[in-house]
Amino acid sequence: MDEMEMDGEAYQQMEEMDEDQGMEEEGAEDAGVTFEALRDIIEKTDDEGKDQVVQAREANYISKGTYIWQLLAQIETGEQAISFFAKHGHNTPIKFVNCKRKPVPGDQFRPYDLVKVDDEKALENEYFTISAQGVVHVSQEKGKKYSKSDAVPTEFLSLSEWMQQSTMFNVLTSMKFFKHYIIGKVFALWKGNVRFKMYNSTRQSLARNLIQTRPAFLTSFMDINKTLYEMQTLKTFCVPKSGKTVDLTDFVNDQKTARE
Amino acid sequence: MDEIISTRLALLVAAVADSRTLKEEEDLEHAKMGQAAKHKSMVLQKQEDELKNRVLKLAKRNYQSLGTFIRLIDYMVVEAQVKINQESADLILAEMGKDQKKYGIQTTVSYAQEGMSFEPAKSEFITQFEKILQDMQSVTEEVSRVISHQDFHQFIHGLISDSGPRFRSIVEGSEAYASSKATIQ
Repeated sequence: MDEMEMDGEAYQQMEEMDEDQGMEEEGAEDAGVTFEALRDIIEKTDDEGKDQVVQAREANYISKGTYIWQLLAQIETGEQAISFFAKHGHNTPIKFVNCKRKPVPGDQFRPYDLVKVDDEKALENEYFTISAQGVVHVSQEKGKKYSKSDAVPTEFLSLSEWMQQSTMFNVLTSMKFFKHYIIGKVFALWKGNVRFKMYNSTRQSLARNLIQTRPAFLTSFMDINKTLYEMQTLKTFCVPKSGKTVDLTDFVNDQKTARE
Repeated sequence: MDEIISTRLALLVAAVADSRTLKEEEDLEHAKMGQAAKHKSMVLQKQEDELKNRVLKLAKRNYQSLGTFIRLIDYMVVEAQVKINQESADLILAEMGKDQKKYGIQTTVSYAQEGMSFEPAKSEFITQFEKILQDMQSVTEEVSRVISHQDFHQFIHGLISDSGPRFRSIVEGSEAYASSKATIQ
């Protein structure tokens, strides 16, 4: 019911807007606005846009409420930052943007998803600095204190390289195999653990219940095993040791005697 | 060998059966005349009773498992018999395959217009080696099965069927033995 009411209201609003527009057009015609006047308006708007860009490029710093400030405020992700620098280069007062990895759930791995960090103090051990030249990945070891002489591990990628790798990563991770790889890996690990647990349980059960391992049977079992081993060393065929040649019947009789 | 195994099993059966009657013997000890009565604390008595019960329970369990144990030993004996027979057949085959033998079987070769003839003939060799193989099986089979022992009947009753492991049928059905036999012949 609510949805239907909402739809009805929206429809009414749209109708009202259309009516307003129609009235405006009629009003314009009434006022006698010509083609030249409209062209002037459009050109003026374009000029204003151009002016804003020119102003942004010529500005020495970012003041609140200006066009460049609005642009900076619009940047929220790493991709947007790269897009900004790709468009404007280093001609604006925005020279770099600091980013960190976007927090994602534990079952996902999104190394190219970044979010802008406004406060430099909020940067953690690992962060990214995006400029018109490229992306610098700063990765400090957790808990390790770096002195001034120590080199902090960094990696530089140009914007094009970063975008290429990011796109490749997204394409690859959209494939079924890579998409479900982590889930599959965790499942395989879980399955292995369950199987090992079951194996352990069976092993313990066998150790508890196997007859031959019970103290009462163990000695007898070992003795009988020894006897059977000795029995297996006997052969029912005797290899003649003498170097003479014998008759077939004698050979058979010799074998019989040896067995007895 | 089979006697040794049977004797060892008989000893085991006796020992396990004795362990089951431990309680009665100990009870009798209390009734021995001329000895001072031993007083134990209730806790100690309770612990001893628990221990005794556990031992008896274990003894009963062992006694009930005797049949399975005898059956296991029987399977092991049959396995050993099959192994002995197979190894002996393989030994004949290995000796036949040797290039330089220290001994030999006399064969007379006669040359005639119809062709060569051998004495003893090929069929005689086949028959005699077949006999050797049969004798080998018979000798191995002489090892009596532990399940056929009179003293163990009560334990294995109902545990083993008539179609239990049969040495000869296992040997005859063995692919390895059939292959060795075919090569010998």
